[in-house]
Amino acid sequence: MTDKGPRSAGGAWYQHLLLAPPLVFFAAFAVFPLLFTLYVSLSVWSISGDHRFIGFGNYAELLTSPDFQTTFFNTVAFAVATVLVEYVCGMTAALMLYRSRAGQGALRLAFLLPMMFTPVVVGFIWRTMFDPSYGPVDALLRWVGLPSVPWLSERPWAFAAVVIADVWQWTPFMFLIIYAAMRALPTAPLEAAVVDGASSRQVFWDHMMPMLLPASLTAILLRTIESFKLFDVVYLLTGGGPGVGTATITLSAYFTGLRNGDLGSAAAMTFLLLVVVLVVTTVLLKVAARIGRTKPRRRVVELPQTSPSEGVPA
Amino acid sequence: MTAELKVSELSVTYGDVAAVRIDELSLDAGEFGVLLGPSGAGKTSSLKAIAGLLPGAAGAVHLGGRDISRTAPEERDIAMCFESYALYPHLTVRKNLEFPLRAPRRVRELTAQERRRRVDEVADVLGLGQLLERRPAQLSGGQRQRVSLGRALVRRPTLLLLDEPISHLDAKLRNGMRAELKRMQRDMGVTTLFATPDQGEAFALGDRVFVLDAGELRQVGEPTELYLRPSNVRVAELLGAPRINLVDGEVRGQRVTVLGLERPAEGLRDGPVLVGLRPADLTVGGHRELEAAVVAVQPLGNAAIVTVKVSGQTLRVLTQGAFDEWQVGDAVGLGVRSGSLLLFDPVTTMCVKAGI
Amino acid sequence: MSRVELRSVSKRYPKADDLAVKQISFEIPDGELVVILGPSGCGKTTTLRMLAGLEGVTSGEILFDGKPVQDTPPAARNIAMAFENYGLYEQWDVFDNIAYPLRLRSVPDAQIESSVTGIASGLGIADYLGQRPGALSGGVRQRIGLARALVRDPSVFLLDEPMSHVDADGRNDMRLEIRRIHERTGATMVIVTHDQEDALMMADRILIMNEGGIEQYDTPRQIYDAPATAFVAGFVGEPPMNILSVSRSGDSLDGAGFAASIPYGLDAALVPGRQLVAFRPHLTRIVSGPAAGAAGGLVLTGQVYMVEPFGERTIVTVQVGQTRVKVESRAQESYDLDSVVSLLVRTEDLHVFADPAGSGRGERF
Repeated sequence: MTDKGPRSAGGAWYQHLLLAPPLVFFAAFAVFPLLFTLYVSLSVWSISGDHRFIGFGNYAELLTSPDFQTTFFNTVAFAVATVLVEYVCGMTAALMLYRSRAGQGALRLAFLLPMMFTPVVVGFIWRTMFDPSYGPVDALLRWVGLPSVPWLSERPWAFAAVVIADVWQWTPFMFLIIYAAMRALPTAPLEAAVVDGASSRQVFWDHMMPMLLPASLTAILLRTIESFKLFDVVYLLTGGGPGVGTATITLSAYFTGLRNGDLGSAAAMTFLLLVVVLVVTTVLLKVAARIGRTKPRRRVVELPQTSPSEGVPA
Repeated sequence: MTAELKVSELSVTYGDVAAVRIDELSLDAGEFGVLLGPSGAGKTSSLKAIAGLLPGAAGAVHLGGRDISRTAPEERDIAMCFESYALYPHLTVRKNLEFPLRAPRRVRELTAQERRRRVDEVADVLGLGQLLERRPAQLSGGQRQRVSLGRALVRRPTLLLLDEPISHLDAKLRNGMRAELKRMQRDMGVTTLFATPDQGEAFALGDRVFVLDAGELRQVGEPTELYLRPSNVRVAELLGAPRINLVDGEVRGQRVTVLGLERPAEGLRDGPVLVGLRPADLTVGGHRELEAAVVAVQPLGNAAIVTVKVSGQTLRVLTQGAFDEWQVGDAVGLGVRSGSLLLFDPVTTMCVKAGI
Repeated sequence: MSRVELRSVSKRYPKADDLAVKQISFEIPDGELVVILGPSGCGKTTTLRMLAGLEGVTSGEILFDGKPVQDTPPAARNIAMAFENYGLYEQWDVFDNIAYPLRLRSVPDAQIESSVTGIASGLGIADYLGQRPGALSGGVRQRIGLARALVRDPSVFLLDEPMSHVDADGRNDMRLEIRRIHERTGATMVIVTHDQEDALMMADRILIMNEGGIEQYDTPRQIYDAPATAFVAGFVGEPPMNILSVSRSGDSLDGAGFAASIPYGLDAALVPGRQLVAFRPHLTRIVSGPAAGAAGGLVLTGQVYMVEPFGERTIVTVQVGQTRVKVESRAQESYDLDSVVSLLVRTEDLHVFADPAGSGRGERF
C-alpha cells in the first residue's frame, strides 16, 4: 500500500516542467498565429508593406458588402447541402453493404475509392465531367433527350455542380464512420425486433437509427467543420464564378488576400468564418448532449390489483 | 519458500465508497485460505490491495514477518492469477511461463538454463508438457487456466493469490481442476489465498474460509465449523446449497417453537427468534413430526430439491434418492434432523444457539 | 400451442468444411418443455436459431403442427424468443419494450395497456415500466426480455441460455420461475443450455447434442439412469460419471495402470477387447479392510488423491492407476492423503459402452 505521497497533484514542480515543450509548441503554432491574424484583421495590411491599425474598419466594410454577403450565403448553403446529401448517401451505402451477402470486400473498396483522390484531382475530374462540349454528363442528358445544362457557367447549376463533386468525394467519409458503427451494433435487439415481427424498414427506423445516433452526430460534426472550408473543388470547377456566384469565404479570402494583396480584409473574412464555425459546432454538440439524455416517455403506471389474465378493470 | 501472511486494517476506497474494510486476515505458512463472498463483496479489491496493485488502498501487509506495505508490487514476491487468465497472446506457452523469470529483478538470479528447467518443472506438474510450443489462441479454456497458474507458480512465490481462476470453465473441467489445484497447493506448500463466490468450491478447497460480504469479514474458520456453527444469518445464507431456510420461531420458557415443532433451548430469554433449517437436514416422506404439502419438485440426478409448504411457510428440502416419488400437491411428512437447528437473534442477526 | 418437428435438418455455414448440424430429426409434442443440452459448439444454438427462423436450413424440414415452416420468416411463425443477452431496446422504456410486438401488429392502445401491465406484474417488474432498461439489474432485464416474448402469447417459446448471466443463488429460483411460466402458458418451450443441472431440473425431456448430432433424447430420469452413450454418461451428473477405459483379458479387466477382476454377472455385457465401464460417484463406496470380493461388484484399489468436503456431501478423488476416480458420499468423511483404499461398485450400477474413438452406442448392463 502506498501512502498519498508525491503522486498527488500539486506536489512535484518537475511534472509541470515536463509539460512545457508541448505547451510552447502549441503557443507558437496555434495561439500566436491566431492572435496575429486577429491583429491583421483589425488593420490595413497590404503585401506591399502598408500596415496601419484601423480597428473594425475591415469588418464594417465586409458586412455591408453585397459580394461578401453572397459568399457568406454560399458557404453556409454549401455546408448544409453537402453534409445533408452526404449523410443520406453514406447511410444508404452503409445499409446496402450491411445487408449484402456477397462481394463485401469489393463493394467496400468501391465505396471508399472517391475519398482517396486529392481534392485537386477531384476538381479536375468533375470539371471534365461537366464540360459543355466534351463532358459525359451533358452527353448523357442529350442522349436521353433532355436539354443540356450550363453546369459551370450559370449560378444554380454551378452551385449544384460543386455540391455534386463534393458529395462524390466525401460521402465515403460518412459511409466509413456509419458503417463501422453499424457493424458494431449489438445483434440481439435487431434479431429480437425481427422475431417480434418488424419489417426491415421498421428495424431500421425503430432500432438502427436510434442506435446510430452517436456515430451519425460525430460524422456530421466532423464533416460540417470541414465543409465550411470548401476551397479546392470550387476553385477548379468554377473559380468562384459566375462572379462570386459560387465563391466561398475561403476562396474569397484567397483572392482578396493573395491576389489583390488586401490581407487585412482577408484576415477579417477568415475570422468571421471562424466565429461561424465555432457557433455551429457548439450548437451541434449541445444537440448531441441533449439527445443522449432524453427522458422516458411515460410515467410509472399505478397498478390495479388484478391477475394477469383479467386485464385492467374498467 | 513459504511464509505466513498477516494483513491488518485493510481498507480500499473508490471515491467516497468504502469497498473493503478488513480488520485482520492471516494465513499460516502453507495454508490454503479461501475468500468467499458474493459478487461485489470486494474479493478482487482485497486481493489486488494485498498485491499492491491499488495505490488507493491503506493498511499493513506482512509476509513472513517482513512489512511489505510500502513495497512496490513487483518486489513483494507475490504471484497473482487473474480471473481472465491474462495470458500473452503473442507468446508461446513456454514463453508465457518463462516471462516472469525474465523480469529485471530476477534476470540476474537465474541463468537461461535454470529458467528452462523451472519452466519444464512447472509444465510437468500442470500437465502442459505437450503444449509448450502452442499459442494461447490454440488452447482450450482448461489449458489456458493451467498456463495462467503455471506462470504464477514458476516464480516460486511466497504468496499465491488466485482470483476466481476456474469460474469460467465448464462444470466438468472445473470439477477436475479443483482437485488438482488443491493437490498441487498441498504438494508445493505455498501460502495461498483463493477468491470465489461459490461456497461449494470454498468448502472443497479451503483449510480456512474467510467469509466476505459487502467489504467486511463476517466470519473466519474451517469450512465445517462455518457450516455447522455460522456466527450470523448472513454467513448461514452464504454457505450451503440450496440456501438455508429461515423461519420465524419463538422462545418461551427455555423451549423454542417453530412450525409446530418444539425443541429445548437452554439459556435463552423469551422472545422471537429466527430459526435456520438447512435443506439437507430436512427429510420428506412417510410419518414424520410435521405435515407438509409439496409445492415443487426439482430433480437433480441422485437427489431432488423439494419445495414444501408447512404452517404457511415455504421450505426447500434436499432429498436423496428417487426423485419421481412426489407430485405437486401431495401431502408428505416433514422431518427435521435432531441437532440441526440454528437460532438467530432477529435484531442483531447473530447466532445465539446451534446444534439443537 | 404447437407440435414441433424436425426432419433430417442440416446446417452448413458458408465456407465451413463441416456441417454444424448433421441431419437431426426429433419431435416435440404440443406443450412440452424440451431442453437442448450440450457442450459449446455442439450445434444447439444453431438448432434453436433455425427453429426461430434467424438461420436458414441447409436441408431438411421444420414443421409446426404439421406445416413446414423452414422457409417462413420468423415474424410469421408465431414464435417468441428470449435471447442470451436479452436484446432489449435500450432507447425505449420498459413499457415500450414489452409493447413493441403488439404495436407492430396494430393492437389497439387500450389492449396494449392491459396486456403489458398484466404480464409485467405477473413477472414482478411492474414498478419499472416507466424506466429505461439501461440502469436496471440483470435479473430485471431478463424478465423484461421474457415479458416481451410472452406478451404475444406465442405457440412456441424459445429460450437461449437463460441462465448464463444468473448467479448461483438466483439460478434455482429462475428455474422454478421458468417452469411456472411454462405451466401458466402451456406453450411448447425449447430451452438451450450447457448446464446439465438446468436440464435435469426443468425439462420434460432432454435432447443431448454433441458435434452436430443427437446423442440421446429422453426424460431426465432415463438420461440419468440409462445414458445411451459414453458421452451422455460423462456429461450429465455432477460430479460426472467415472468412465474407465478397460480391455478384457481372461478373467480380468485391464486399464491404464490397474487391473480388476470381472465381477460376477458382468460377463455377459462385456465384449472382447477395449470398452468403457462407467459408474456414478455416489454409487461408489470406499471400503476398508480386505476387498469385499468380486462377487458383489467391481473392486478397484488406489490411493486417495484429494478429499473435498462440501458441507452436504464429500467428494473423494482416488488415483486408480493413471485414472482418477471420484467417490461421493453424504457422510462427513476424512481420509489421509495417499492412503490406500478400495472402491466397490455394485454390478447393477455399472454401465458398459463400446470403446470409442469417440462416443459409441452402448448398452447398459
